[in-house]
Amino acid sequence: MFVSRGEVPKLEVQWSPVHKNKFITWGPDIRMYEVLNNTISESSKNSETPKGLVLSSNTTANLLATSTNHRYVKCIDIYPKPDSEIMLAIGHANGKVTFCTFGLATVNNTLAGLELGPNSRFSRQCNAISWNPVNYNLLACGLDKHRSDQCLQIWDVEKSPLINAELSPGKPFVEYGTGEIAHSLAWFNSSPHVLAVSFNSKNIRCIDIRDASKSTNITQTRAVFGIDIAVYNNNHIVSYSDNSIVLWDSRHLEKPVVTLTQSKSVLKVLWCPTRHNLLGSLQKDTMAISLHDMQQSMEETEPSALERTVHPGQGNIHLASFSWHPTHENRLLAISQTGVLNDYCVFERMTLNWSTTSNIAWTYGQHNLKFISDKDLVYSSFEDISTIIKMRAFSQYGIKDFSENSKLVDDPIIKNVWSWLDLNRKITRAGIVPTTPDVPFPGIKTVLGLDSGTLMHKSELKHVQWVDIQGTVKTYRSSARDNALFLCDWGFDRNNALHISNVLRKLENENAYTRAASIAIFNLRMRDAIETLNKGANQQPHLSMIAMALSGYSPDKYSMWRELCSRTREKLTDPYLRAAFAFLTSETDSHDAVLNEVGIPLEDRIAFASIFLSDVKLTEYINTITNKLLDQGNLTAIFLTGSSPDLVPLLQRYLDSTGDIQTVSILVLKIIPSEIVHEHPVMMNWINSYREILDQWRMWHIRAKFDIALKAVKPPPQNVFLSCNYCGKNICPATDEKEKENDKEIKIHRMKEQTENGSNSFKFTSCPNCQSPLPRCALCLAHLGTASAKVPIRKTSSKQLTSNSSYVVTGQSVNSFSYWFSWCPTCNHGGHSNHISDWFKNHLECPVADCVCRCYSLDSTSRYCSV
Amino acid sequence: MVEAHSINAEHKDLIHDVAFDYYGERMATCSTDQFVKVWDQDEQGNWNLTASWKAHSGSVWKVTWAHPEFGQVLATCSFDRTAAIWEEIIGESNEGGTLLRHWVRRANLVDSRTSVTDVKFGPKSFGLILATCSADGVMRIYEAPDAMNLAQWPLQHEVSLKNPSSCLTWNPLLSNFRMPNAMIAVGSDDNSNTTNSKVFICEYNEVSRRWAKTESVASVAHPVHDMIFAPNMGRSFYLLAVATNNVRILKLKPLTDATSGFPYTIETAAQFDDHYCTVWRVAWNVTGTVLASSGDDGCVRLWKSTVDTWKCVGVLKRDGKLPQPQSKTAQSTAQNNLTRFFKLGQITHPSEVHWH
Repeated sequence: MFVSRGEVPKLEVQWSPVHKNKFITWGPDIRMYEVLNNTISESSKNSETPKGLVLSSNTTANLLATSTNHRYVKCIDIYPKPDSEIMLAIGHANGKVTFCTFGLATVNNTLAGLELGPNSRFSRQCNAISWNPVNYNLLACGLDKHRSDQCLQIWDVEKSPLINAELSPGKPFVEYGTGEIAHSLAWFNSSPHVLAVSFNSKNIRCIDIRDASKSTNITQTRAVFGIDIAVYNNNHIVSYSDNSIVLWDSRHLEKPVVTLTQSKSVLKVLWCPTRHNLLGSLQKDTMAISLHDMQQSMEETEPSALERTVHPGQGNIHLASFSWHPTHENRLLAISQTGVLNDYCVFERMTLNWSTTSNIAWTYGQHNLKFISDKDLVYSSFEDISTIIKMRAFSQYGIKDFSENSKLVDDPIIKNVWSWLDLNRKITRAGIVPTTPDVPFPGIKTVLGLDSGTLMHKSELKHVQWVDIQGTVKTYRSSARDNALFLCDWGFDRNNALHISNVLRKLENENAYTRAASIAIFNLRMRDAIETLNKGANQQPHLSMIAMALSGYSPDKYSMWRELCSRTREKLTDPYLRAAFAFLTSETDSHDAVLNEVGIPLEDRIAFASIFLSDVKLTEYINTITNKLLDQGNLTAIFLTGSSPDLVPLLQRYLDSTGDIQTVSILVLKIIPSEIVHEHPVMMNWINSYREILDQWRMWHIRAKFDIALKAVKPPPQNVFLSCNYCGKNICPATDEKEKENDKEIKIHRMKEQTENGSNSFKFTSCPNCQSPLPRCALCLAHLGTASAKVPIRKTSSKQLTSNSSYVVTGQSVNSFSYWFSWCPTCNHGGHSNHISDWFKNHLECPVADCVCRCYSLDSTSRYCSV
Repeated sequence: MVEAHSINAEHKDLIHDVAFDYYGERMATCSTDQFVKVWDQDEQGNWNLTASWKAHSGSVWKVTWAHPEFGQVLATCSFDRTAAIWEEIIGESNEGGTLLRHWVRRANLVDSRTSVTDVKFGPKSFGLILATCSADGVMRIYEAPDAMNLAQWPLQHEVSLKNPSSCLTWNPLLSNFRMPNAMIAVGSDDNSNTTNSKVFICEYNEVSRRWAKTESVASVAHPVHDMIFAPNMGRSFYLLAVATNNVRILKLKPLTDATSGFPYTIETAAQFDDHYCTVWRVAWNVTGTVLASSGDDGCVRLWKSTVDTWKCVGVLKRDGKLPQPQSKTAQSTAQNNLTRFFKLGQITHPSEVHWH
């Protein structure tokens, strides 16, 4: 019966039911702690470490008192009377009950130091002790068996004679259970004269202390340990033995409500006092506390538990015990076998969701929802591509032309892509670079003939003389290379000094002095380069030093200048200058240092390559760089691919890594012929994905403009047909494609005549085939097709009537819509659309007698408006 | 500094699910209190309660919206072993002249013998189709043959997964896959062992016209609480976010030369342990580029991909505040950032890639 020495000493923890910030731990000794919240002193936390025991990131505990003079403590309960100091009732292994106040004896603690004892000399273990939660004077003790002594004693600490240890034992208020063992017990909150007690490893009984002899509620079970009664639902009793936790309903105690089988033997089970139906349990040799969220249904389904585990504390030390905080929501204190305490708050399962309109909502506690939207700071901090897409869509990105698109984006790569496409179009429209119908925007690869299946044109080697300096450089020339240069915006005549100086002036005006200088050098014009740098020295003084250094250049391959400059060029910070010096100091014709200078935009590097690289090397360079950019999903590669079929894998890679469906869809539609796009399932999927996002954001007008401007989808077939009630023929023959062409023309002609014959607008109130009248408007009772008198009628110009426009659309602006037929597809009643919409402003049901159709509220999508 | 806005949900017990409709304008919540509530957002962005009704006789686990072209339709599932279809109808107008809207039960799906743990409508292109999964591990497909008649939901298919199922998600359609099969991933929260797979992929076979389990993802062995496919947005692969003992992002790449068997490779794109032990829910943004997760640490964490790597781009405590520095070391490294960026993501090794 005694704790054997080999075992780990039992450690327990318990929150005070009275003091919100105090708890006790007991094992070899009893300690009382006070919990301090250190969030208030947040500001000073850096300088001083908080005193006492750290319980969690924001709580610490101060040890208030220790009591060591209790041996063989078996069970403890804290006196629950409000406003009293902490007082413990301690059940001992010898059956004695003592009271401990940690020496803080106050007026109402007359019990301190006193002792209640069993009325026999033979010691027997006190198994359970519990204060009555309402009548604070009652204390129940459950004891082991001793002959025919009673095992359940209820003391009235105020009325019963309180006995000093030396005096003869007193009498309990109530005694029960002759010759039995009481294992555990608990009082009912709602009926404080009843308690549930387990006996003899066999049964649980509910005992009314007003008449203890008459115990009616009894159940046979082996689960006799750790009886606990739920605070919220007083009918719920829980107990355990070995591996099972058993739930009881005190109204139907005969059979358990549910048995929860655990994988290891159970040490402790406690109802959460702050949440309905939540049970916490601790199993042997675990680091986790299991939580059982009991689920019940009104119907006969067996209740079951939603299980989860929480891990208070870090490390891998097994837990010894835990205790729920009596009032703080879901807070518990766990103690490990080594005595480490952990203050833990069990968060409710948080559900969350993310709406298409960029709201993130999640649950906070049991009753609250929290949400953030894209207007909040946190949301904008992570640069969600979807918010960027939305913003760009609002700014008409994509609907506009290339150069304007480039202004609408911040991303430098995409900006460049649009400006380059603008350039590309200017060049191809001017007829400088040839195009094919399938590839309206040729890329560098296309013009150089590097696309698969084509051969590169042979180019001619030329030794070009430096201007003003003795010496030549190997360059290559072909018409394909010239085209490539045009696409790199190097389309100036390189032999014409005026052209080049114009280009340099332009760059100087943009303060791109180093770029201008290196372009001058790559065109073998050292003097221009030096002059440019000298101009730039007004703003960037170090450029004059560079100019000085350049002036010493000589084409001699083994000069000291070359040797020294090649050593120091790596120290230059400007990529253009680095490249220029690399070019001037290169000993072979490879020019790798220039070509791999990533600080220089791709177009300048390619332009350089198309001048100075041999056919073989140029092919290799272009292919390497294409693959590299393709692999990165870098849109810059569009310079190389243009609108050739190679563009699709590039865009797919870009899309896979960025999710920028918008730019991809717009690019596809802008630069690939729509016949190709519409037949290509992948591209159509991109476009439809983008349209779907716009739809979800209710940006229908923008989506419609996108559809129109970019021919995003094939025009859908005619949505609605009107046919005559009598002859069944189509009333709008102009849109009937089966109608013969000449027949159509005749009708158009007739219609034109009508409009010109002085009538304000074209009207037809009868079927064009059989001349029978059209149905009447449910409100004005005029035949449909009649102009509704309420609306001022504008004069239609016959010019607007082309053969494509239908009979119904008469070319009038907004108002003509009011003549439209409008009807409810459910009840098939209808009329002029303006009459109908007027009616439904004030009415719910159809204007036709006996029709209760709620035409206007039927279509649920109409509740949403476009933004 | 309070960052998030609050709504008093007025549920009497724990809220299990929050769902937004297609346009993000309406929100539905469901709870242990057996009620479902519908919220509408006004022009100012505030959410107003517009309907609340007792939907089931047990905890309501999940609520989900149908595509608006089928009307204002919700589906719910519950501990009471049923799933239900709800439609909003227009009632009489009250004295103020405003229309009263209320929700009526159109169908009750009673095939499950155990708690129905998840319910999701399929992609719009498949018609009005619904998948449920239940605690006894059966995935069921229902289909309304007539979209105008929401009362008829014949059970079309049943797939037994033999593992208690907790969640399911439909695949979006891929851009470059020739024949995108309808696919559903089902997660299991079976906590009796941590060796068996907890993620199953079911596919519809066009030839046999049956749904069948075609794959289980071996790398996920801990109980799964939530799963969701990212919106595809033209990507050439699927992204599947899994809430298990950590946040897991799986990448399903179609095999180009698959003739038979499971035509995808599954690899772990990212895995994050920041939620300590249990991750409860995951949700994607509209483009599938940022993932939000919630877990036992009481935080909402946001993960974003930048060119094949994933990293944390934001942490919010459950009360919507930015977290206090947890420890002195974390504090010194991240003190100056308003939003804290942690590089805690592990990209798993190629050796962990699973080939099928």
